[in-house]
Amino acid sequence: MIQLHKVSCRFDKNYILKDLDLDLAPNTIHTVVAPNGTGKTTLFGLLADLNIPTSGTIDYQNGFSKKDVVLLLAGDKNLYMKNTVKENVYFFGILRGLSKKDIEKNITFYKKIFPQYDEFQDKLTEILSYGQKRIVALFSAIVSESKCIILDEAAEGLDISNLQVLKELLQEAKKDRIIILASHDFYFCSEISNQIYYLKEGQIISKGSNLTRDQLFEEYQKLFG
Amino acid sequence: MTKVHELSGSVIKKANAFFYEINMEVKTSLRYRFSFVSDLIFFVIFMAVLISGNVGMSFGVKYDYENYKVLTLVGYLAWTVSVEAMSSSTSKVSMELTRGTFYRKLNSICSIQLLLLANMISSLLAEIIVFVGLLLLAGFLWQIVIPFHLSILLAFAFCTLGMYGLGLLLSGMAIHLKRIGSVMLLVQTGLLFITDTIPTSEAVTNITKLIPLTCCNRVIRLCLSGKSYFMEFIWLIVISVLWFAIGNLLFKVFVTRAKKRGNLLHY
Repeated sequence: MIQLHKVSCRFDKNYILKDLDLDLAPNTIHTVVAPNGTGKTTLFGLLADLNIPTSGTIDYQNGFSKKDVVLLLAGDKNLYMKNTVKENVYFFGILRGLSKKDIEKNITFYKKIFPQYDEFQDKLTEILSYGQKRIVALFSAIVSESKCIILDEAAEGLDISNLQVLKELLQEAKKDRIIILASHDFYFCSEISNQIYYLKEGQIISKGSNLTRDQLFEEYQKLFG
Repeated sequence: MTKVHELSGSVIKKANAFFYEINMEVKTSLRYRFSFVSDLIFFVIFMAVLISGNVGMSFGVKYDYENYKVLTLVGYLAWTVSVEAMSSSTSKVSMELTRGTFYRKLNSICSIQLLLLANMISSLLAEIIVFVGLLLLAGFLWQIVIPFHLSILLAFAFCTLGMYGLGLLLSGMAIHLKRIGSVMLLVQTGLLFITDTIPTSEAVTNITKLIPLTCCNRVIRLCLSGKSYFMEFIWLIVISVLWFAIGNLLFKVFVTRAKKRGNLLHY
């Protein structure tokens, strides 16, 4: 569980987040919905300990800690391009303190959802497509047993088959984990999310559970026009 | 007993991360094979300019040693190692911030400074291939052979550690100020002229003996010319350890400041 209590974040004189309260429970996919420039990345940075709040507290409870949070940025980033997929997956596992045996075990388990891993593992990451890189980055975060995974612009640029793999991986990964997403794809958000939060003027102004695409869109229109 | 077990487990995990970082970087370097050739060409041309211009002639007088070219080459090697030690962490930090991998390392079991040290070691391992080529060519083209001394290797090791510390300081600045490429170029070139790598006035070296490279140049040249270098060696160790500690400390300060200002995520 991660709890944010009255968290504010200010850069220079501008408040990006102001008195934000948020409870993030495990076994749940949380999605933050908001137009660009409303503080999503700042919020994610705070959770991953890449920003420090100006005021307020972030409590990591029940076995969760700052070190358990992995932030996967938007775009084809988050991986070493001149290394193979296998080298990347092992490296991020070892950075989290896993043994090679543990990593191997996790790969075998999650490969059921991402069978292309066998085909990709010896390829240099740079030659993968945009969507494949996104999936590999998420796969590496899951295999490395990160307890809280944040995926910015989760569905951006993915084709139908990669989107399907992403959904299945996230559904499997959410067990005992906190998954946090940001996405502008309302179909994807409604299909995958257990909790939706609307972020405006640095605060969560509305939230809902298991919303349909129409409910999600309606609320978005109401709040952001 | 359990605590001892936990501690040794944690050390092993950190060591695994450290060595896997070296492994990853060496593989990356080997995949950029052309950089070895371009580095070697650059070093040989630069060395040729120094030798043909009799640049290090005054070293012969200063150290009362006939073969001044050896003293020039060894200083040049020390400068090369120092520049690599200093710039490897800075360029790595900038690259990783752009690629988004820095954030994943920041929450790793191993401190980012230790991972940057591993990255520097891998850069130096790759550089050894270039050095072997350079030494072979120096022997063939100019009949320069550097005699082996354990003290020279140790001096290189301490100098590398100190210059790495300086590099951490610059890496911290890179996080804070973002683009410091031109500053790096200035520092690298400046070191050549102020650290007695090529003959530098004593007035300058009296100030720059606070830089590990200046001390290293002095130690290795005294060692090669058969003079006593005990006090200079102690000074090199002190200065290098000090820079290592300062670099580590200031790097942490810069990272914390960057977190407060939001610089890390908006690189």
